[in-house]
Amino acid sequence: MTLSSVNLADIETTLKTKNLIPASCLAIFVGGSLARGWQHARSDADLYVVSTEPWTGEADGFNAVALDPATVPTNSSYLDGRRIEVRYWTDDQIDQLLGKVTWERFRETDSIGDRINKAESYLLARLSTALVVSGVDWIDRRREQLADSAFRPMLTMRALAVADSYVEDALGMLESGDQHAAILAAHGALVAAADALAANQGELGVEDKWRARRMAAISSPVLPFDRYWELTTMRSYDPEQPKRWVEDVLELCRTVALEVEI
Amino acid sequence: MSLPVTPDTVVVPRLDVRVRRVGGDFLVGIAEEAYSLSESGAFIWRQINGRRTVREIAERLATEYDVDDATALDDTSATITELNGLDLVRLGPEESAG
Repeated sequence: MTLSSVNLADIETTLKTKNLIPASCLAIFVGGSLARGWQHARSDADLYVVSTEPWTGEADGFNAVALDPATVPTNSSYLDGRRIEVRYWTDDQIDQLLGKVTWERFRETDSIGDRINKAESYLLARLSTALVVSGVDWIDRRREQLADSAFRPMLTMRALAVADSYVEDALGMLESGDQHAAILAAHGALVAAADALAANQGELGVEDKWRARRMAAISSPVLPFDRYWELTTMRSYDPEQPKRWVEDVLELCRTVALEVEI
Repeated sequence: MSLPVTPDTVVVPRLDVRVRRVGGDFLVGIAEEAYSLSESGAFIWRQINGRRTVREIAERLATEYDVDDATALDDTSATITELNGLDLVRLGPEESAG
């Protein structure tokens, strides 16, 4: 059985059989690569279980979150030889998290989503593309709240800020004659600019390994996939003229910032 | 001393100027300073690519806003002069005819 053929009902049955569903469960969904159809032969299945009460059953790890409670228990198990990682969120944690991505926060205190940590960002991104196992009404309602929130602009602004920082570094390194460092900084700027474009077009994932997938998915006229791939794989880089490649990339970053409208 | 802005001046963007378009505002910033551009200022900014002259940018402005060429050239020259004064753009060599 391959991951792509995992039946959502089988997942729920497996969780029930292993007593991995809390009594106060509101929703279960699959996130990550499996939900996008991007899974590979060795992909895990990322499952999210949301309940009213905190999970008190078996756990073998946790994700740290800046919420109350401050942890999301995790439990790893297997379905037909495939690893399934279950994360147990509470409904109240989701409320708190959505409270961090309001437009008021965006305008007044946290335009780059500095208070959202990695696990929190993953939850929101995966909620947006979730495959529903159970609790469709809950998930639909939360998706609407997410769509109305400032999470997308926060991610976009964060990526633009990272790109700016790398651009500044690359220019300074060129001025100092450190071309190797300038090339790496320019590559960092390219990555961040691509992330800004993708986030602004609704691709909210932040994992590096799926950047090419995200760029293909958005099919941006500002940075078409072929151009992105040419630059990120440095096919147009000429060792005899490193400054030219750096400046090409920085010019592209300038164009991206010009085109991204929040 | 800064160069005078003429219709044949090529306007060169600075790569280290930050740009944000948020909620209808067009913001440009460098170092600790940030400025909000008007709608026409933002249009002019978007035409600056290091190859176009002031005249070529003005032609685009005239088309976009349906104003006469002389007015567009005056507005563009004034905007570029101001942007250059704020050190947000560079003025390249004048494009020679022919």
